[in-house]
Amino acid sequence: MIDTGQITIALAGNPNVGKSTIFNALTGSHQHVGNWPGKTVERKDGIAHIGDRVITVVDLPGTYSLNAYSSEEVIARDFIIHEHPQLVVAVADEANLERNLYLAIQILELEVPVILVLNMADMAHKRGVEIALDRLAERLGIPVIETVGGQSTGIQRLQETLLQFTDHTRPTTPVRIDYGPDLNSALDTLQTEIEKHESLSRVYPPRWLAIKLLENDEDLSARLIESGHQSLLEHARQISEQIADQVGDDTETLITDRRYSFISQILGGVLKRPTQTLETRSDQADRFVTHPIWGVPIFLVMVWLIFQFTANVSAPFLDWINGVISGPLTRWALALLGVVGLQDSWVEGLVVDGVIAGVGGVLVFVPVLFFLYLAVALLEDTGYMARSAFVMDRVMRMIGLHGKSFLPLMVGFGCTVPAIYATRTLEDENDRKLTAFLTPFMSCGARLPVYVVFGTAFFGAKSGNLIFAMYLIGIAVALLTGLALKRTVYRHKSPQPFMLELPPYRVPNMVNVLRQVKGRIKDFLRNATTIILASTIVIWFMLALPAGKDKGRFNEVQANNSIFGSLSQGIAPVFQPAGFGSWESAGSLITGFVAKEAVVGTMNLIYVNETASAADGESGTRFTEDMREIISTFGEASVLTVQETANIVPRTANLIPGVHLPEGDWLNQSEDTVNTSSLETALTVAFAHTAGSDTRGKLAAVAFNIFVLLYVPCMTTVAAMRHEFGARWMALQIAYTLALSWIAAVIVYQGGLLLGLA
Amino acid sequence: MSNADQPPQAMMMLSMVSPGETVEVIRIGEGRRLRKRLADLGLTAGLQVRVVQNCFAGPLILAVKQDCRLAIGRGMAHKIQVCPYKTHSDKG
Repeated sequence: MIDTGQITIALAGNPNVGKSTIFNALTGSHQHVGNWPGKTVERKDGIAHIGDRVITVVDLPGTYSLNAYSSEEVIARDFIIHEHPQLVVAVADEANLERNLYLAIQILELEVPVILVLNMADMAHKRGVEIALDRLAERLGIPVIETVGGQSTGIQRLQETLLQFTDHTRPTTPVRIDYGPDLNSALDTLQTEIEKHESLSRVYPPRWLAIKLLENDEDLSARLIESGHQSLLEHARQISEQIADQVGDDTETLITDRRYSFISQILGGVLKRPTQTLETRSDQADRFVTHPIWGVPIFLVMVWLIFQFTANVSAPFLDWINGVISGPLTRWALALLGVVGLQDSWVEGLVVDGVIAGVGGVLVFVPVLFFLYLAVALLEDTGYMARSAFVMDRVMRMIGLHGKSFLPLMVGFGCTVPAIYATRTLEDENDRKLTAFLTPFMSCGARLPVYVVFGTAFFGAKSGNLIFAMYLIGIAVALLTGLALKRTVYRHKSPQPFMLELPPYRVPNMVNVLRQVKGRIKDFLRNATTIILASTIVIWFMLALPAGKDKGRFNEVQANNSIFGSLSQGIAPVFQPAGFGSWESAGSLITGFVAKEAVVGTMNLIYVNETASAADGESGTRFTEDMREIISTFGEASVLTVQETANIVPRTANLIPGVHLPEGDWLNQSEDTVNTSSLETALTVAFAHTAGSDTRGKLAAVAFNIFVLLYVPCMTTVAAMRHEFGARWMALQIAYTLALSWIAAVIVYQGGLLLGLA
Repeated sequence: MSNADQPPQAMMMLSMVSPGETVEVIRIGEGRRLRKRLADLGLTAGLQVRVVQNCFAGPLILAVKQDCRLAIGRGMAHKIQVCPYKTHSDKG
């Protein structure tokens, strides 16, 4: 990652200290969001231009310590040890200096140059906290700068200090922590021994390694055993036991205590804070927000709002993007291909049905993700996120998760993709995996059209029952899966002790929030485009290639004679026990693997054979007209977005029985009704035919819906799973959902037959 | 809550302390790991903490060093021994 001659610095600090405001103030818009290699922890890099220097700034994950108890801590300390940043900026919350210094002095022990930044100075001053900066800097032996990240106060001083450091003029030597005579001599002994092992002292600062050995650091112990240093570990253990016998306390606790007492020595005469304990405004707000009774409805309202934003408020722009891609964009592509003379060739099909449709399938997720990330960033920035975990903790504990997992699950009702990304708010890797594993069972918006079409076709006016049942079954499956995993895979996982800092409520910094949203969306696009594009191209070729020489010609083949068709025919018998073993339903399920939206579309194509082609072959340039259309529909989408935002109020009030507020319909758009009646008729006939009778067909239809609910959500979700948790977890998810959905569908169909329902 | 004049050695579990009371942390649990994680968050033996919220079930909210609010699970609060801190901390 590091080029020679390039300057890299790292930002470290506790969570909630405004580290990202400092990061933004230094790097502006030159940012890159991704993941740490092999981890699901978000990595943010940026470029800072200071003077004539170009400095790479790496935002390390927020941690309280460098103990390696979480992947964040391992990432932070490994980065400092192995990637050798020229400098670490330790960002601290001035109002909580004691605890923040606890991390800062651990960074100092890694023998890397450190600048201490006391951020959120305005809030600290308001709370009556005063710090003698010069004296603190003198005692620590490092520069100390006061900042207010959001207002750029102190940033210039920080930049100047950064320049001094990168010019290799280290102004002072940092302080060394005094662990008391007993520990100091033990550390000296270990240090000398470590220095004898060149392979160790080359990599790790010897003093630091000695401290970590006395701290009984699991991660480092494992690494030392791996590299054959058992004797050193054994020696450290002996020393550690000796001290424990003498002092009556284990060395781990001793080191922690000595660090804190060292900090209070440093802060003596430096830090002044009011002795009177004050009830803050945050405390007052928390009386309601974290109240054991009121907390829950407040939380549910928040979740409902997020759900509304991701599902409904984002819909107009989702439709707009869809419209632009399938309308003007497709026409332009066709016109362009016509100019090059590729009209009506297979390239045209590939570009329009493969590439454009594929990329479009990714782009439509952007509005959904935008609103999700916006909501999540706002909740984090205001400090509510921590409270939500507090409130839901009791409920989620039942399935072995804690409160924060509830939010991604709710988002899953809108769309599984943002739900998987929403698990990023969970710190524990296992919690994240388990939560993400459950999100696909929350019925997403794209599965709804399938339920609607089948509901109307087979149950008429009672279609609502089918839809509601699908949602409930999804939730039940998620809960049962959670319980089952808790009893099996995570049997040995000790319940995560719940401890969490509740940061004071703050007004969110919008620049910050929007930057974060932008970075995450870019990251999503980069990752999703590749896999979706590839998969749609593959499916297109499968539909275009005839299954045999006699079955037709390339790109001119009937769907059932294509490779796709014969594949569907091959798969169809698998669904025989579930009652829907026709190649048509198998085929639509295959496309549903790319996107659930495609299920109804494919059925339309196969059953009704009524291709609704967006491009009506109109030649000639309609460029200005198209542009006008794009702009006017954009305007409409904007109006509708505002309308949908306003509609949250009546929609929420309408949840209360007896209340019925009308929802706004400013553009007088009645629901665009897709004419599916012919599809519905075809479906009832086809399902009855495959299953053997009308009632059996109905049962098969329910089984089919169960399958749609439970099987692999979609390509984008799979891509998101892989992006976040790696290929193995993705494969596990695919296998589990496929097996589960098939079993469930068969149970429904065969069970129904046994019960004499059909 | 009325402050009974208890000798300083009267220890109790943190989970028993009423909201608004300030106590001194005497001992934290058995697990070293637990102790260390709490220390990372700024909660160590010898510290005075004010209990901000403590309801019949669910986690507690503590005020550490005036400005830091920590939520900790009830199970953990059972393992933290405290004694009343002799002060007039309660406000009316």
